[in-house]
Amino acid sequence: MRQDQLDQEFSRLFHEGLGLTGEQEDALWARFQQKAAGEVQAWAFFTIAMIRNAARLRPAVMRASWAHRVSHVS
Amino acid sequence: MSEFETFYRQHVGLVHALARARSADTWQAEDLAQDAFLRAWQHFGSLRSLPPPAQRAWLSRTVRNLSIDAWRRAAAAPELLGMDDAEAVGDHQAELHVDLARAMATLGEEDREIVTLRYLGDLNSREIGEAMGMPEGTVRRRLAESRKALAEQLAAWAPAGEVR
Repeated sequence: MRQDQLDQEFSRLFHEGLGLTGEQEDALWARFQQKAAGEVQAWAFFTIAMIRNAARLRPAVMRASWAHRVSHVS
Repeated sequence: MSEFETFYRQHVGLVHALARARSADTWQAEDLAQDAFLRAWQHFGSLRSLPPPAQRAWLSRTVRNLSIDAWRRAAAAPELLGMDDAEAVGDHQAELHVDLARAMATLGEEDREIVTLRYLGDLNSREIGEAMGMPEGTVRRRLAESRKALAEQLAAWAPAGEVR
């Protein structure tokens, strides 16, 4: 068998033997969507927590800053 | 169907096979494949405009990088192969699946990746070389060696005879 024929044959075997069925593909896509949604949720949670922390810290940081002290000297 | 879903379905077979070539078991392989698609999803803005072979090369590099990260975390070398026989559908496909897994297990990790990119990803030697950071000539040579080894292992499926 020539090399290009063998290549074609292997290509067919790999797609047939290692390719996914429609059902497997659907199941993987469904699990990916769940995973992606989990990532978005985790990211949103993290962002909200960051904003809350920043909002909580900001007045304290401002009070301690040089600009704040100078503006309240007199 | 969203554009990303089309992209996912177009490449999931290859990404899954690449992950299987690098992971110890089926679930780890699925995690690896899904993580690669999460990265793709995050970079889809630039990825969507690439031609399909370049998209496959990007996904292949991502699977490799993620598997190296996972390997570092686990501090243990990944072993092939855990191709779960029960996943295959039908006797014929199950038998072929198992025989292909056994044949692939005789190859080194990089050679499994080259062969998967060639026969499942339909990439040519130049594209595989670009994806793996390897000269095209090296890809050709390694592919020829792997082809010979696979032809012996898979003689029942692809009666090879003499490879000319």
